[in-house]
Amino acid sequence: MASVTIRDIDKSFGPVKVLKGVSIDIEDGEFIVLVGPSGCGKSTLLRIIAGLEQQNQGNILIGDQPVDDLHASRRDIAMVFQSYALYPHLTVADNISVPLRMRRLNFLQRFPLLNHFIPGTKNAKASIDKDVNEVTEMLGIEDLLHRKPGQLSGGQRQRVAVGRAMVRHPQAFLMDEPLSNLDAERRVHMRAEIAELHRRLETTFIYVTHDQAEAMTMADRVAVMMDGDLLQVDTPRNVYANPSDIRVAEFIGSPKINILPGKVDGSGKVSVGDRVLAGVYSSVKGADIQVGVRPEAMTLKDVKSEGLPCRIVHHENLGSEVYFHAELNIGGRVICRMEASAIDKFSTGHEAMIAIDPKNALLFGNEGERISTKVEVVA
Amino acid sequence: MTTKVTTIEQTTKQVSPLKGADYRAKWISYLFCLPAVTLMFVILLVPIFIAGILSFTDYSLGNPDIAWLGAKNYEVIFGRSSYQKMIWATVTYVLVVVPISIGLGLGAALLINSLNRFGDLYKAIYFLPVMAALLAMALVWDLALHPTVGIVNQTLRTGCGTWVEGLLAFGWLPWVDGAQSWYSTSCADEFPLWIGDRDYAMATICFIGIWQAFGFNMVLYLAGLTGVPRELYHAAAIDGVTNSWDRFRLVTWPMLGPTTVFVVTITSINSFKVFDTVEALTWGGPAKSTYVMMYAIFEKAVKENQVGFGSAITVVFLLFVLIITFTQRFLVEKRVHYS
Repeated sequence: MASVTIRDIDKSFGPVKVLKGVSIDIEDGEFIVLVGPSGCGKSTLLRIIAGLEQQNQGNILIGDQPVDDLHASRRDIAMVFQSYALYPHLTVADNISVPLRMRRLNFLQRFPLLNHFIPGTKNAKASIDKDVNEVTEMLGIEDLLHRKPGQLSGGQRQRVAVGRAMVRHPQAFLMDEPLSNLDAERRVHMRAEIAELHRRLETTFIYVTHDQAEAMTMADRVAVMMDGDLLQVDTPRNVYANPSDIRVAEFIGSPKINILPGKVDGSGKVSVGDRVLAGVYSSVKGADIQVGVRPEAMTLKDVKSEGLPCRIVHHENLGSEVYFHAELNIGGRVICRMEASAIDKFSTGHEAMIAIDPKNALLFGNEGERISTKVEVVA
Repeated sequence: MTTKVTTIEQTTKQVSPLKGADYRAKWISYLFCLPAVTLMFVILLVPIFIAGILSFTDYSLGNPDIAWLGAKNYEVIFGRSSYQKMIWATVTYVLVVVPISIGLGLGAALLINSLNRFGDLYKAIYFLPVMAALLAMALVWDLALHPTVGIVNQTLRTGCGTWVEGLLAFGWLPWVDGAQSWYSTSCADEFPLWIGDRDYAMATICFIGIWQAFGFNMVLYLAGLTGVPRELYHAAAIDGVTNSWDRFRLVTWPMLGPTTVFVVTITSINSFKVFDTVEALTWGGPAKSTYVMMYAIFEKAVKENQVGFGSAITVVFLLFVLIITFTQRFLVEKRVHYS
């Protein structure tokens, strides 16, 4: 167990800069998820932490010790790969024992045939078997010990990969999209299982995914990355409700946040179209801005009410809720998330009004930076 | 062939109204297979069968009298010393060429694979002997190995009396008497005749065989290496593998299993079939030391027109090849394909 410190990591592949000065302090025992669209550099960062890739600049510290010059095997971290990377010719038990064999047995003790004559081999092997059994019991795969990876299902392989990572009690676990090869149902199940494992082991987990649902459900903190930049590191709740950048707001949340053109007058009052957002005061004054509104912060109302006029172009009924896609008369397309009962009142083709909940409106500058807001509660 | 096809077409026409469309469809499907099956029989199986029959006779081309000899041809093969030498020579050649050419091929493939540049250049160079016609190359070797004017012995001779002799005599090793070494005694006396010397001929033929085969094995192994997932190497690094031997043992060698089976089979069969170098360089001699099976078949069946006896050697040859193929199939294949 140890903290992991990532300091100003730069990495380029040829002319392409994939990481631009990324810094994160990961606390001991924390579950941090690096999330971002593919190609954002999150996997590269993980591989740099693991020692499989060398950074151009910056430092990695595990505990308080710089590990930049250490080979991957000496960093005392374990990794679960997207493809699981199990050795196909070894049984489950042998796969899990590899990290222990490499560390506890010397060269001669690992040598085929010869190993029987080297003193100490037997004891070392017995201790390895004991540790392997402990791990397989914990993961509930003790029945699979003598099978080969080719005879296992995706979920079982995943557990073996986790077992191989757990068996030597590393300082930190690195996971590179470990669930992306599973079907949707199993993924949801394994999500809970991995989070539970983290609670039990109390070890630092660094988890890479492009799936925001995994990030939001498992993480203590989420690190959102885009184009080699780290945009925000925060709790799942804050990343959703209080994004620091329009790219974070757009990446996190499904359906995607609605972005509307807005205006701020000299006193800081914000308006969208001809509607003023009541009680919202922007710190930037007299400028054109972007207003982000989550689908649940928008409500459809009938045409006689006040709001932004729109026409419903499509609706998706999910049973528990309904998504309405609407085209605004001022231009732009938005999605509203409403209770299922709204389907009785509105349908595709209808004219309607959209009301924005002012206290949940997020203001961004034209560069995408967040604009701080003062909200007065209107009685 | 044509008559067969028409008969079945006629039968189909007669039977089909009685038994219905399913029956007809079944027969038509057989009919479509017929050309391929006929060709397979005529071109592949029947000749083997005929060779098997002829191996029990004294048949020779153009001779109308054929006598049934029973197992006499086989008795000769396994009983007479010159044919025991033949089997011995063939097995020696296979046992030397197969492991060495595979070992070198794998080594070269691993080295080339670890290069960042010039890899293609090395590939091309090592592959040259494979592309060259072995018969033509054998003539080059014939000149190079000529006892007096050949470049090999000339080069060796120039080294005599210089520091090269000192080095190659290994006299600098404390336990070696330099004056008794191969190089020094050859300098004092004479360098080998190579293909003209019964002690060296087989080794020379093997050397040329290895020289020719290893480039091909290298290419096969290079192809195999591209199929090893990189993530396995990364997993191995994280699991604590630090040296290349462990990496080779844990990842590379097991993942090359299917390639190795293929390479071993192909190289073994090709080595059993060695012929061109023997025909061009030694004609099976001296003293039958390079009298390999393929050359014996050629000599008996073609040169001496003893087709019956040649067939018997062919059948023995075929048995060897079959044994290799079945060993590969039943023993090894199960252990190298993991899914």
